[in-house]
Amino acid sequence: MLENLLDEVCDIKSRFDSYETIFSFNGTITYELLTNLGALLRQNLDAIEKNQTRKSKVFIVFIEELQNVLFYSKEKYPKTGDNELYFNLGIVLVGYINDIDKYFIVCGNAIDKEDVKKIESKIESIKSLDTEELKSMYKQKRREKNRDKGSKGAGLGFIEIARKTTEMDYKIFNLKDDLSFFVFEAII
Amino acid sequence: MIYLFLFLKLLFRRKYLKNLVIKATEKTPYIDFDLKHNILKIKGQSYPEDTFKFYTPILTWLNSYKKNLNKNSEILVKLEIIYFNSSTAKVLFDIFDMFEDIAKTGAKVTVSWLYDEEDETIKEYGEEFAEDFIYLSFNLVSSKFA
Repeated sequence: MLENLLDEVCDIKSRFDSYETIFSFNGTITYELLTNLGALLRQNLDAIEKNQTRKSKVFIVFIEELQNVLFYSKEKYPKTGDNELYFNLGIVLVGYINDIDKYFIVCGNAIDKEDVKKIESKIESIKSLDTEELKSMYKQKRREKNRDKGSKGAGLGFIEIARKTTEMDYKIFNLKDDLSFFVFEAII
Repeated sequence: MIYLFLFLKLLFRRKYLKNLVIKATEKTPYIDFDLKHNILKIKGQSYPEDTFKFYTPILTWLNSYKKNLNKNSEILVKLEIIYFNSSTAKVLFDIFDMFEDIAKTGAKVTVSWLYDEEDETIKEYGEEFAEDFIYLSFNLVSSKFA
């Protein structure tokens, strides 16, 4: 089983490199890691980005996306057993494509199959809004006294992301029995 | 008798509400609420692991503060934030909402919103809060952040 590992790692590296990835991480995610990757991202941005507003937008979107992975990932490590200590699994890739002057922030995590429709309709409805509509939806959500059921934040995350990006897209793949894999991309 | 009781209760509360000071961390802001001068400062970054857990004692403090405030007080809320996440935005809204209530009863509440002159995002957040709270006088202050 291990004989192809090195070849495959090289393969993954060259694929990520072809997208000019600044960093990528796949595996167990903690809040500590989120903070550290955030700090790393800021350092990288200091080196390549002069526009402070754009720097902030990349950082804002990065934190919102990674918080979603951390809060909502349905895939845990260790995968089996009744462990008291477990971690959420997720993936994150951040890159800057020089030729087209675009940042991408991609995050992915497992979701329950029964939540697929809910997530799809939430993102589709946000994607259909223009700048002014996004602003009023953001303000309306911010004003609401009752937080979304099942939401660990304020339910503002995707609206915030939409307001800070030029494009966003997502895909949902079949993972196994009751789980799907949700992967989300924001372009700035 | 009842008035004496209420008076003592008020006195007791005021006496035991102390200034609120919380040190900053990488993920949570510096909090400095000064009772004597009615100056409330929030400075730094805010993306706590559990936003509502972090802000609950702060909101509780503000509730007591609100209850014991003189109606003609002049309050300065000073924010100097580099970054906050979307769940903090919600909490900031709730904090401003509290001050809006205070301002409606006659107190003068000034919000000083400091932003990095090069960072449009923080300026925009300030403008959008200002739009939502008409009783608060918002000053958006451009400055040079380190």
